[in-house]
Amino acid sequence: MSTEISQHELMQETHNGRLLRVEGLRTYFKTMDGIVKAVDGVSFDMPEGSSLGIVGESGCGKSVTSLSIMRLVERPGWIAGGRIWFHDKDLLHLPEEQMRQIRGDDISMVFQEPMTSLNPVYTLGDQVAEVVRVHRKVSRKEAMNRAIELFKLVGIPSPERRIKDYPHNMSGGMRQRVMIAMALANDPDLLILDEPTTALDVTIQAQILELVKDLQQRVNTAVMLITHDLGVVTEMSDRIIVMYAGRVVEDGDVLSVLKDPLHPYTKGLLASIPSLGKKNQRLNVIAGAVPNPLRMPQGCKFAPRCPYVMDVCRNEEPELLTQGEHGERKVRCWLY
Amino acid sequence: MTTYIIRRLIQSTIIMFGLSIIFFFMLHLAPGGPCDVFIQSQRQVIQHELCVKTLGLHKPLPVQYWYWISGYLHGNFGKTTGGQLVSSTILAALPVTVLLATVSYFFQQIIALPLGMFSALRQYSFFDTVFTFMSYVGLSMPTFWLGLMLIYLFGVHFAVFPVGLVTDTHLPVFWTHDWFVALAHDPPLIIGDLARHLVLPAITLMVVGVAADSRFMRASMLDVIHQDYIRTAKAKGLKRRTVIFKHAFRNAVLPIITNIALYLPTLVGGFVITEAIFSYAGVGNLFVQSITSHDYGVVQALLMLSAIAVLLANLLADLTYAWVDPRIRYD
Repeated sequence: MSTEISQHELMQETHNGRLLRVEGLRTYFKTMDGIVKAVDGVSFDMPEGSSLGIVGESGCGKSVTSLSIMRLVERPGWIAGGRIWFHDKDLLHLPEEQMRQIRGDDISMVFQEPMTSLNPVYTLGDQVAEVVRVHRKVSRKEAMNRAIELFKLVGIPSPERRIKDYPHNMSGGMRQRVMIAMALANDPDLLILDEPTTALDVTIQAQILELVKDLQQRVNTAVMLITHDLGVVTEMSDRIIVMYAGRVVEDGDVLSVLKDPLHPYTKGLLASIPSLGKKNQRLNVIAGAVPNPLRMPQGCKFAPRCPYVMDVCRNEEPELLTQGEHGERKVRCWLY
Repeated sequence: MTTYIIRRLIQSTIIMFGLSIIFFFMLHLAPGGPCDVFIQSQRQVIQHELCVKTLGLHKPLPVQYWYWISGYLHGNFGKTTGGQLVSSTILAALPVTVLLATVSYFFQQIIALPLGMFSALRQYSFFDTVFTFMSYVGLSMPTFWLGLMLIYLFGVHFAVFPVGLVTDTHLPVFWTHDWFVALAHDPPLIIGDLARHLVLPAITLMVVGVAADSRFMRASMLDVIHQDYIRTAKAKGLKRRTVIFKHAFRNAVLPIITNIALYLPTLVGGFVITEAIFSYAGVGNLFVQSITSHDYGVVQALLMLSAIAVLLANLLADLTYAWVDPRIRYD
């Protein structure tokens, strides 16, 4: 852990425009069978206006990480330790009222399920205008005009009419656009997208991603994209973090990680993407399954599934160490 | 919307017709009749025959049914065995029941909804556990027993509230001309008297409803606060108050609306028992008396009346539902 933090301090000096810094975040859940360490010592940085992709299988802790940043982890979960610096505020030690003022204003979030993430009994305009009015002193009419403006921004046709519609009048893709409009309402410094396209059709997925990419350039918001789709990250992000069993296992810029994955898990993920050209080829899969969160292996959490496993892996957990001459990549593996 | 209402009203009419047959034959199939009072001795045979003839009870049942139902269609609701108009007898008792219903129902919701809501928001807390226990006690308590216990405790032992009747005996009867005159003359006295007489029956009637509705509200609220849109509302940076009262509450009461309407039949039964225990001169009390004296005309009219009330309450629930839930459209 000590090396990890010192690495971050080094990075802090090089990144003056730092926006977000997560240090050793631990978020646990209490279950009937014991404590599940959903996020266990996650650290990373995000400069202002940057784009970061967090990748991993279901249950690796990527969504919980984002909810922890928003401080929206619900019981039986709780943030057990770590620090989250946003600008120069320590979010985990902020009074709830100040945290509330940050949510939806400085940091906003788009969730996975557009079909259920909007309140069915209020109009879309009301719901978008609401987030404007809670953080800005504007009249109802001004907020509505802002909603119309935002609907235009996210490409919803005839926004003047659409603000009077209810969520059930819209398709999933359109609802996700509304969610994005809502998230962008107060020009946030950080936009968290938690699997924003998972629930959508492929064609709609592409439209939404295109929209986010376009908006990112226009509004200069830092974007944290959480997904299990490596292809999406390649399209959308400059940097990638690979998570496994509540830990960061690899961290680096997208191109070098994809070209030369270091961690065996990342290698496995990349190999498991089916290629279009080759027919009748067996799909590459990572053998085994994600470890039971209640009975985590003692050493490296990936050891039971790792093709390169060594004796040391089973006994001792490796740390997230910097690789390369410029310290631009990090990996948690005994191989390096 | 109008078409929908019209369609529902037509449906209701058909249902009412079917119910009228059931009500009529059920009563007439039961042993005994309104003229039974006259068969205690041989001397009254003639009087008994006269009674049967006057009420037309010697005619075949289908013919009797026809007279009864065609009378209804002409606005003639028949006469009681005592010779009064059924309609005026019921109308005289109705204000009392409406008063009791409105007051107890209003307070039932005022108490039950917040109770259920706060219980859900503090799930498994001390308050929630105590409340859960209390609501099971409330649900399993028979109305008649609760009524008797309240009378014993607060009416007799502590003597804080009057036992029985709608108004004090030295004051005019509720909803009569004299009563209105007295009300205009001294409102605090009359209203206070009415309220004191109302407390115990209203509580008796409310307890089961509060227990049931608050449990329902708790379950509904628990369901809603774990929905994705509540997380969205929090992520927007809304105050907890706004999240709960604006985003959660409105969704949580949707299923309650149906529940409130469907509770009405239970309430009708509650009136009968409660009013009988407290000798509260409302429709429920009238119903019990009419059954004991085999007063077919009144019993049938009251059955029809409660059936209409239930049907209308259902229609009203459906319409309210469409009004509060934009996803529901009737066209």
